[in-house]
Amino acid sequence: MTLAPWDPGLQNERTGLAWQRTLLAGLTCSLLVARLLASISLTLSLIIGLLALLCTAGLGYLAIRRFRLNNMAIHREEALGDGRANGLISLLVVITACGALLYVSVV
Amino acid sequence: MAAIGTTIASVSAPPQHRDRRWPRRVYAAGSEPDPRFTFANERTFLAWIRTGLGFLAAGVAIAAVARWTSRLGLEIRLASAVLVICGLACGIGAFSRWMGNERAMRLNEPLPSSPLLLVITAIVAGVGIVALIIVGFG
Repeated sequence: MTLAPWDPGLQNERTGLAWQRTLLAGLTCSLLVARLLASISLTLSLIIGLLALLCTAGLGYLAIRRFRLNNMAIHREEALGDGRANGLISLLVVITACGALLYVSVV
Repeated sequence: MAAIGTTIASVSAPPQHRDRRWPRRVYAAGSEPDPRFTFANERTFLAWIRTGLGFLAAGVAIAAVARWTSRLGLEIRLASAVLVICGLACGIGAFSRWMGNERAMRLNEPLPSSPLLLVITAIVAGVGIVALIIVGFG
């Protein structure tokens, strides 16, 4: 379904792009960690790399879906999406940070 | 801009169906704010997340690069841990700030202040000064 932009500030489009670059940053960060772990354990490195790719793909799908739903919601003057995706992203950062702390203290 | 004005007026009307949006602490309070502000709040949240990811990558990279030449010293471990903890704080702070701002906007209250900016700035400045001393005298 194609709809004209809802506002001249392109709020939804800008927010969608912000999701995109956040996911790119997350993928870069986790692939870097996976690569660094390769010198310690190749299996662990591959598992983390695969997890990172799957997570990014899943969140990317969520972000596109969120953009579409929000786009329809603002045109129909309904309420926007909630904070579940935000909570999920924050949780992922916390898990990654715990992994990073483990790496820093163990190697 | 007239179209936006009517949108704002009509989204503040109570929704017909039951609101199940999470977290309840945010959505149980007040009325729908201007969607533009909700979008802006979400982008601010995402910017904090990217900052946190940057801290995480920097923390891990310092440890990994130092490991190329020798065993990790205490100062390297400490520097990495501080950066990673900054990343952790950004990740948690991003969500709590997003929640506080969204709630304040729904209640039509002023946006809450947060110690996160000051703490992160102080830590980065502190780490920078220590790094400068180590590089200068090491």
